[in-house]
Amino acid sequence: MWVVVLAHLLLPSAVAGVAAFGAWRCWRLLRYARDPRLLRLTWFYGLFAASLVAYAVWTGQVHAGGATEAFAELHAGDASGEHGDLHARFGGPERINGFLLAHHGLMLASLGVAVRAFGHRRREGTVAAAAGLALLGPFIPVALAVEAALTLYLAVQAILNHRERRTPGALQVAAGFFLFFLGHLSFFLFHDPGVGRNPLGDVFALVGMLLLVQLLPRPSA
Amino acid sequence: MSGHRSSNRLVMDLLGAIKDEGPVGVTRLLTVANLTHARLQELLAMFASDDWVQEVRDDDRGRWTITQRGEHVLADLRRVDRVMQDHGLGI
Repeated sequence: MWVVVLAHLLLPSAVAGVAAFGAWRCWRLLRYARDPRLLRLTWFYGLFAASLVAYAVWTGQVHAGGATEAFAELHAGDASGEHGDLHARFGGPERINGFLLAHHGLMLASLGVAVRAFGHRRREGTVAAAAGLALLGPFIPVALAVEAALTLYLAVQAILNHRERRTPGALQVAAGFFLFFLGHLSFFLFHDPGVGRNPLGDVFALVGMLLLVQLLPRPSA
Repeated sequence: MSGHRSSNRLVMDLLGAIKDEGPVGVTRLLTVANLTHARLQELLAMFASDDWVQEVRDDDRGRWTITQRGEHVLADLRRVDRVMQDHGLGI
C-alpha cells in the first residue's frame, strides 16, 4: 500500500519539479529581453507547478490519516488488505478542501494561459466558458473533463504546427503535448473520488513535461 | 499573432547586425532597427553596460562591435526564437 500512496505523492511531485524547472529556465532566458511568448510559457509552467504543489499537499493530508491506520494495522498483525483496500480506505465521496480547489483552479489557469498563447486567435471567452462549466456540474469530474479538453486543444495545435514546420523540435513539442493530453484523459476516465490522480496518467504527464522542458535552451551567457 | 516586433526580436536584429557588419556605425544600425536615434542610443548604452557590445571610436565616429558575451546572448536568443516557433508561437 505504501507503494501506491508514494506513487500518488511522488509522481505528481516529480511533474511539479520538472514544471518548476521549466518556469525557472524560461525566467532566466527572459533576462535578455522581454519576450511575451516566453513570458506566457513561464506562467504556464509556474502555475502548473503551483497547482501540483497544492495537489501534493492535498494527497499528503488525505492519505496521511489512512496510511497511519494501515501502518498501525500492519504492526498489529492485521495487514490482510492489499491494493484493493486503498479504495475502500480512501475512496468514496470527493474530499474537497482548499488545496484540491486550489489545484484545479491553478491547473485551469495554467492551461488557460497555454491555450491563450498557442491559439492563433484570442480564446479568452472559450477558456472562461470552459472553466465556468466546472461550476455547473459536480466540480471535480467536470474540472477534469475541462482540463482534458484544454490539453486536447493544445495537442491538436502542436500537431498542426508540426505538420507545418516538420522540425525535430516541433515533433518533440507535439509528442509532449500529446502525452500531456493522454495523462489528463486518464485522470478524467479513471477518476476515483477521494483517491486522487491516476498514477498512469501522472507517468504520461511526467514524460510529456520532460519532453517540453528539455527543449528549452540553457542560457550560456 | 500580431505583427508587433517583440523586444526579443529587436535585440536579436540589432545584435545580429552588429555581429555581421561590425564595426558598424549608428546610421547603418538605424536602418536595420527602424528606431529613433534616441531609442537606438538608449539600447546601445544598455547593451554596452551589460557587456554585449563595445564602442570603438575612430575619427570621432562611434562604431560598434559585438563582444564574446554578446555573441553568446545572440546565440541564446536565436535558440529561444527557434524553440518558440517549434511551440507554434510566431513572432
